[in-house]
Amino acid sequence: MKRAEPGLEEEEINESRLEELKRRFRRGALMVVLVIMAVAMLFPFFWMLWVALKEEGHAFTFDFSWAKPLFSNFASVWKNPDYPFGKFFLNSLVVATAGGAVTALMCSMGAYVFAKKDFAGKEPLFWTLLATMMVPGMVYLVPQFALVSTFRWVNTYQGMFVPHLASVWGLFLLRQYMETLPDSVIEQAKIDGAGDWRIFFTFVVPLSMPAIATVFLITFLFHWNNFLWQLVVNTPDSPLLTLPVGLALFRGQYTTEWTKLMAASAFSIVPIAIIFGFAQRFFIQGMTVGALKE
Amino acid sequence: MLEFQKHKKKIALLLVGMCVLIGCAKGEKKASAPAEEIILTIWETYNEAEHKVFLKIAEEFMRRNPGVRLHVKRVPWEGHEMKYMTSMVTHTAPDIARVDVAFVPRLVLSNSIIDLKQFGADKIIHEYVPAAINSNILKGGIWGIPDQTTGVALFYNKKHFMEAGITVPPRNWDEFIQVAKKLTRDLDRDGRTDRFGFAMHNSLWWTFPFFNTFGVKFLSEDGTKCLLDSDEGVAAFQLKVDLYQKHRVEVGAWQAGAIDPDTGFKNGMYSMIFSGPWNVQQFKDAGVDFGVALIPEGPRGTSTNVGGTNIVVFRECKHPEMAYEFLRFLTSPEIQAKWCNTLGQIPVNLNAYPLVEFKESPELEVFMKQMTTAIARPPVIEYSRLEEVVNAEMYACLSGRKTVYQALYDASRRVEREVLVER
Amino acid sequence: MVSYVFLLPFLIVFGIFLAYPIFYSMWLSVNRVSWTTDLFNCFTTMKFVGFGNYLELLQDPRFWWSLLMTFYYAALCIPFSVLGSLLLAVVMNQKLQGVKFFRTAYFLPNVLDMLVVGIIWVFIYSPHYGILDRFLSSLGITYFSQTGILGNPRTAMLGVAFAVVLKGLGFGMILFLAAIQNIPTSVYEAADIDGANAGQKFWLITLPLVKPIVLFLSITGMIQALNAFAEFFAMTSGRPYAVVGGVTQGMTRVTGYYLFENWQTMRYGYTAAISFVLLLVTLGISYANARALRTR
Repeated sequence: MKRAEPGLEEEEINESRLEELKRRFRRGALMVVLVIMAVAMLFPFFWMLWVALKEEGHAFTFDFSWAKPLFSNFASVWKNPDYPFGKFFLNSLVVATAGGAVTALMCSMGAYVFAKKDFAGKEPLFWTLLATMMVPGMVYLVPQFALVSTFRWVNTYQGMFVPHLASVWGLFLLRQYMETLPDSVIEQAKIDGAGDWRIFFTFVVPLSMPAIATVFLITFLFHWNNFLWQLVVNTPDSPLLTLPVGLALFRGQYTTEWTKLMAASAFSIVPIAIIFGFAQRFFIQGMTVGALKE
Repeated sequence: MLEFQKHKKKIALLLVGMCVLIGCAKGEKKASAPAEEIILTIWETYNEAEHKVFLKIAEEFMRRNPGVRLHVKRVPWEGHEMKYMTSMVTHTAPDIARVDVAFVPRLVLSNSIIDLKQFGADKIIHEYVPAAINSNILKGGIWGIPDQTTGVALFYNKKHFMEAGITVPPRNWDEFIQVAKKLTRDLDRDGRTDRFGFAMHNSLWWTFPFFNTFGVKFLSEDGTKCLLDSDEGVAAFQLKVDLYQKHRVEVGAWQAGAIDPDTGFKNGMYSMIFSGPWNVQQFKDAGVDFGVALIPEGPRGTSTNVGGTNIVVFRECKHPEMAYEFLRFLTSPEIQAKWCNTLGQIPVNLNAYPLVEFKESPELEVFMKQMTTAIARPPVIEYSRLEEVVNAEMYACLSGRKTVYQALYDASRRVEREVLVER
Repeated sequence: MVSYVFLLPFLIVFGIFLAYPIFYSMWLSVNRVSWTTDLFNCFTTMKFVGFGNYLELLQDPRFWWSLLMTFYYAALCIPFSVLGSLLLAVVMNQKLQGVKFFRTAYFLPNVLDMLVVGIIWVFIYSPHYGILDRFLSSLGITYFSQTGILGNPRTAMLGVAFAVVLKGLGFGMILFLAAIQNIPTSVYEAADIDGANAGQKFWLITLPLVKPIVLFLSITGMIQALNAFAEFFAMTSGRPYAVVGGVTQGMTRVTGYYLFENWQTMRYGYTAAISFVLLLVTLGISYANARALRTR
């Protein structure tokens, strides 16, 4: 920023003060817009909590009839004696984490070769993979279940996440992201005599962390919220039932008990919000820019 | 890059921890049963309260029949049909299952369940409420035993009634319109109606009370023609449409994105709705001061629709006779009395009627009386397709895009073309 | 070659769990699973019908209408979400107060299950009692009081699209943000020296360098729109119905929902046929999309 040097004409000083004001105004206006958008985005969460804290007959009225005691809806969802809520939670955590981690790894390996290397049949193979993404998930349900059944993977952790490991979406995302990585680093490493594995693990992976973390997170979310598949691949007495299935058992009973439904939904969001908070640091890496500076 | 190295250890620990967890949480091996025992798996879709009572009934059965073990599993209602179907495909289906009344024809046609006539079911038909047992009778066989029968009646908010000076629930449709008009009010004088006299669903099942009170026959005798566009049908549906369009006493709860009748009733937004016994406890818990009355009378008196569930035995069951024994036990008068009194539900077994007490649930008496004039759904194989077709036309009419006659005419022709034809 | 080794784990899982079901579905699509198909022996009792399912499909006016609605939905969602998230990313890239808070706030709606988000918006949009209607009425606009947003055939699709775009903005934002931050600052500094203003920097530097992400978002956006189902299930179930050319059609009845209704009633053969027609359509559009973005 240029500072007004001593001895400048007065007009120029006024000019730069005007510029300063204009800039502050634009910044202020921007902040206002951002805040309004943040409110719009966060509104569903607040509303969910609001409804979860009210007593049943007043879920949608605009008065303040809170549930007595205040957290009773949460308590009745959590402490329901027939629902091993903690177990559902744990199962969801295991499946989602395993699914997310392995998918991220497999997809980054595949994406690396699509983004940075050439091989026979590259584009046709890619479009074939992409084509499978264009079929609605329901269509896969019965054949995948038949497969899982043949492998005797019903009621097992592997049955719950392995079929979804080959995420073409993740492969696609990582490929696009890796394409934005400058080739210079890789060229340099090759000149220094590094093999593909080394290049991959010490350069490509760390540089692609934002995309890898994204794939992990979104896959995690997918498994966390996945209801249909977990319902089908587990028999009702399975010790491995996940949160959405467990909550559906509530929903049958609470179909119109919005307060408890919102409380139950709030429970499934908390861990994700925490994980995202933790994973945020992987997304935005200021220092990658530093590493690339020539 | 440095950040990643820092976190590598944490990530590795996480992965190890996960493997440990997987190892620990895995498999509770079930002890294998002694050779002589008969084991039956039952999948049911009851809600919490019903499930508890059901477990006790299962225990009682096991007590009276040593050598029989019942494994009761609760399946969420949401997606249960799909769960049953996929389990059949992979030969992991249960022995006994609770299914919705409308699902039975499909199971029969695909040869998935066992005809209970061979165990003597035909001799006990008369013990059950006709509307309930009839949904099990198809193609000359008896394919299940009803465990629950329901129908809707008129729920009304007593407090709103008192405020409007109404002392008695409406007995016929004319009175209904008068009452609803008095109840539809703008409470805070801001020019917007805050409270509506009535809220209704659009779907065919929820419209049956209208059709049935006008005596509308749905199908012709031979089952190939749909008779919705008869004079009675038009009169019945016109009444329903008028409630919304002409008299403006209905809020439009049937619209996409509107607040549904149950929720609105609980929150004091709607004064009258149709609903069934499944909501009685919930409304009480929500603190609504309500009463239940018969559906208002039309030219053919009062009537209502019939919903409910049946219990069936799947084809690959190894001990169907014992399964049948259990079904009979479940619906025996003494067990029925216990079930209905505890849960406030309508008995399916006629012999249980005298045993039901109304002290705790006076609403039950109304429901039981209502069921005596209830008319079962038309025996169509693919009921959901029927609803799909008719609902669309009814919606178009309610929202003012078709006349009543046009909508019913189109609906009937489409039903004849797309639903009544075997595909 | 090394490339194949890197791809191997992915391809193995893909081959078993994705490719096989596709072939299986192809077989299903030329069969008919009807009410009489024995579920315990599903595959042996299906009836072979050749192209019967496809013919039936192509003659159903409801299918064509659903395609129309789907394209309408895609046309609403994709441009707004791509542009919107790009703009957001550019804004978030500056040093502002509380930028971390905003980033989290904008991403968080993605985390919610679509069903829950759908239900919440339903209540916002409801007639008479919904927040939006109360707000509009206080301003004197009572057009939506009777039907609400989702009950009005003209605005139902707009309502759903708005809720979905808003939910997904944060995700595109994160991707663009990461890609923008990969652009070395030296490039921008060189532009500054040449006297470029903010607009030029955006169009001539930022945009071209994040093209891979734009491509990704448009293609996956297209795919998601064509298969969209959950949001419609949660919010409108395909309604409201209006009469178009004498036929009653659902104004939010997209192909994903049409497919679901058939799938639920176990018409697996027909459903498989729908999914293949959909696949061809999507493939065609995506390919054209990719070509257009590459030749720019």
